[in-house]
Amino acid sequence: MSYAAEISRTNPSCFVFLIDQSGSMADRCGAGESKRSKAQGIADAINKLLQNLVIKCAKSDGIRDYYHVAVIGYGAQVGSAFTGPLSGRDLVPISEIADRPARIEERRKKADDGAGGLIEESVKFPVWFDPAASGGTPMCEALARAQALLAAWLNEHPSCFPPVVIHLTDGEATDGDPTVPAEALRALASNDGEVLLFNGHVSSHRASPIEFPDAEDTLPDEYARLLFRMSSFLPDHIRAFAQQEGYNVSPNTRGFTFNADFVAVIRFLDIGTRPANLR
Amino acid sequence: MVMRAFVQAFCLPKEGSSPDEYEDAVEPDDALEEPLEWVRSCVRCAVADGAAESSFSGLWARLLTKAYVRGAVELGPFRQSLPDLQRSWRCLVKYRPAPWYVAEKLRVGAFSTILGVSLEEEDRAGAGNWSCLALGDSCLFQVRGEQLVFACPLSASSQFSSRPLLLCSEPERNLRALDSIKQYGGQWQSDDRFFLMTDALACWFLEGHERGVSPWRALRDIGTRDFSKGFPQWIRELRTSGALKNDDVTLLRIDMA
Repeated sequence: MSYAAEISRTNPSCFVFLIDQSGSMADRCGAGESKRSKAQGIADAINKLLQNLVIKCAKSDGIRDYYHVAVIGYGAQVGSAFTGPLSGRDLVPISEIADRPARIEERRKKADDGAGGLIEESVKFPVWFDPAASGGTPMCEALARAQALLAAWLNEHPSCFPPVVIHLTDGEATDGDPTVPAEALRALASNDGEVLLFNGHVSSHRASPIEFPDAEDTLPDEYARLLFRMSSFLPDHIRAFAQQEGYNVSPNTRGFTFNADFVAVIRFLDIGTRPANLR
Repeated sequence: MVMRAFVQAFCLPKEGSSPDEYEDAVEPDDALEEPLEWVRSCVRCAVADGAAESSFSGLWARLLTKAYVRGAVELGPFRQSLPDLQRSWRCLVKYRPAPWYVAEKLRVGAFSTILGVSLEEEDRAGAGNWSCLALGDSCLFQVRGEQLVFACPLSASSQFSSRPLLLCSEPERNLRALDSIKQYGGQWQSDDRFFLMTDALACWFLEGHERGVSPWRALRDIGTRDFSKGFPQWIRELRTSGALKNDDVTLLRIDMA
């Protein structure tokens, strides 16, 4: 259980994104002061995560299939949440994800002008996943679905770097206690370690964003504390990368965020030399 | 004064990668084909390791090593040569049709280590000075007889990580890197050996040295009649045994006559 397996085209790993699409996700982020709904915030976060994962695997000759990726939504129904040409698919090689977004939007982004100021620049923003908010919150069913998907993957890839599940939700399951299926999911393992379950709490609560805490007593509500307890501890090497990037971590640090994104997790994954001056 | 040196280089791509995907660089690159015997006033050699998480980094590594051996051997001239190298890199990559993700990688730029060594002879034959310029985790080892007499820029296996500070083809990402390029120097004498190598082999070398074995023995003999295996077979065996990380591997050996 070392989390040291090489991630390569011959020994790929996988990502599963679990996305809460229940009716409550139509509420505004951060106690209503934001104009964006939680569903919109999550859609942007997932598209950004997928974009970062694709870029991580991009080389001059194309994309290398270091990962296979599934996006599972749960709300009125539980299933694949890709939109566009990947609609209905479960685990998809990252090269197909790179080449088959639903659309590529042009967005404006503030960037350093190199002279201490900011300039706005146009950036391409591929979209694979659109916001949705309806129905209940069948979180237990979604976790069980991820478990089934990963059990099959691990059967075929017994030596892979352990799959990573990133789960974004506002935390209010309507189909039972999610800690039970979460525990079953985390118990799945390759020869290299157990599945990593990272939970992101997208809340209407006004509290400041929290990334990778090591105790639950600082968390603002019971749902955040529940999701914290459902989250995996950060493996040693990921914790070391997090520390290098300035996160305050300890052996009790878990893969949990509160009203914050998970893009840092993509940087922490090791597929070869990553320059320290690339952030 | 002129001196005599034998220069030989070896490389092998990461297991699972094709030769086209090899992203290290070595100069003189003809030393990969056959051992070179040089009789000249100055010996300059370099290796570089393009970062896996950037694109067109092998090209950037080649530009850096070529600039070094063409004369940018001191810190000042090397830094001054970078804007031209960065323009060259951009010219060479910009006409390729690029999907959105390659365009994003090009915007970020390519990253590479650099390690160059330059040897000159003093007035008396069979001795002289050497200087080295280094950034990243490609390493130089100077071996005299059965002694490791110098190691740089890293000197312990615990210093290797997968997050080194590297030189970038985009100037705005080099602010910290430029200040971190190190210069080293020393003296050489006849029969000294210099080994330049990229990180996987360098880490193996230092681990062996720390255990009290003499890793330079195999490196000294490889490519000669004293070593029964070819470099690829030897490297693959080290990888299979877990002694060597699966990465592109480059070794350059200078034997001072």
